[in-house]
Amino acid sequence: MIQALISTIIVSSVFTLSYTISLWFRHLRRSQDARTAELITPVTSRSSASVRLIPATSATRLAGGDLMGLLANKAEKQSLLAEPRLR
Amino acid sequence: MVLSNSKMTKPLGKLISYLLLTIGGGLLQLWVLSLILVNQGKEVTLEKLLGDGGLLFFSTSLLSTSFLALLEVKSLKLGTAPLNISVALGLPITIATVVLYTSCLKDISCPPALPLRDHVLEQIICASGSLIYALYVCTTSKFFWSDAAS
Repeated sequence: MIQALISTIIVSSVFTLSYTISLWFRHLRRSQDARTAELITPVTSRSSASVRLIPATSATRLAGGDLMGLLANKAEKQSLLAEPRLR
Repeated sequence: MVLSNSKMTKPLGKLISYLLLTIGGGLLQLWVLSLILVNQGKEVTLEKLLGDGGLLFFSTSLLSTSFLALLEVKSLKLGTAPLNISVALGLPITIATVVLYTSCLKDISCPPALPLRDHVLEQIICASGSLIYALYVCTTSKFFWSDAAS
């Protein structure tokens, strides 16, 4: 009986340890995402006083979107400035 | 939720501190006994160190306190991982401990000096299982990620 119990403990321990390690990696990835978001968010939302936690994927997407918006605005302004000259 | 670099905790450092305190403090009697045996010039063996069942006491104590800590932060509903792990790991350790104690301490009127000297491996496995369960509880309750400044 004790052998069966010990075998069960070993199997459960191995499973729990692997699950705990996966939880660790998940937490570490979230922490890393939060840190990345903290670095990026002030650029993406300057009006916000507090630093929001957003995943890195969203943060990079937002940053990319902002950059595209800035470039589009610049191009629009240039085209508006150029228009009277053409006329 | 505000998160700054200065307030970021160090999970790995916390894990090391936790292990040092749990193993170092929880198994203090082993270290003291080892020192005494070395001091007396006697041979230090696992049978002498663990023969009294100290590791079983450590594992049940760690298991129950971890379970209580888990109850504080998680609801143990049917089908959830905390309940499944608690049952899968906690129950066999508890039953094994009870079986070992009752089998070795039957004759309570005249207990042997080292009643569990033949069950060292079982004790080590139980203690390792308890430690893994405690680590799981600390991880799932985000103990290692809690902000020290708050």
